[in-house]
Amino acid sequence: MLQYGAIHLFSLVYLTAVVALVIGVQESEDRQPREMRLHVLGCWAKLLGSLVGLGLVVYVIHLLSG
Amino acid sequence: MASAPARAKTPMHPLLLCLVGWLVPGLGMVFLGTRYRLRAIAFLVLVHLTFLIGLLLGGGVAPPVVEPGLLGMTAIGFLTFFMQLGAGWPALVSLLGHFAGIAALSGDQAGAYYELGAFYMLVAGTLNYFIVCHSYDLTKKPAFENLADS
Repeated sequence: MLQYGAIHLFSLVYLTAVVALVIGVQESEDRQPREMRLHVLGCWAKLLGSLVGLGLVVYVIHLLSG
Repeated sequence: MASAPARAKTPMHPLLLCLVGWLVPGLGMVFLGTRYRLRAIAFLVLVHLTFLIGLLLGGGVAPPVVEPGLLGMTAIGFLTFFMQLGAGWPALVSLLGHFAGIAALSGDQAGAYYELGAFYMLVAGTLNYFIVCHSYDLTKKPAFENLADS
């Protein structure tokens, strides 16, 4: 069970990081390296935050539905 | 009178570049010039690594199954297959493994992590489609000729 959870947690972090990196780098085409890094981190934070938030909403609905 | 923007000049036809970029993720961008080479290598490693993790988790690329009466599930199956194929040669090898019955390449559909592994492959394929479209966009950039030579 612990392994199952750990693998899914790793997947959440890894997959959002990869997507943020690819999209973020291509969006910040002509920016300075520091700005690019910040943009990629921002993309990652938004993706991760959205997914965790969505997960929490689903979890709360699940709790409320009994 | 304003002069027209310089036409894109690539070592190969943009559509051929897309085909190469699809077949070997990241390779299409290598042909866009030295400015994009480091980025291309990073994308090449990322897409392949993501697909490899999916394979190690027991995932695989399998042809979609038409389920009578379940239009939604059938549509999801076809879309997943299409997106997984975006990963290029690794996806084709996995698909061949499915037809040849090689479990190490096609995954174990009864395995606990099959769905998760297949999802890794889907992400790898989607990212590669994105990279291919971006590479094509770059060849249409007005100042591309100068960038490619720099």
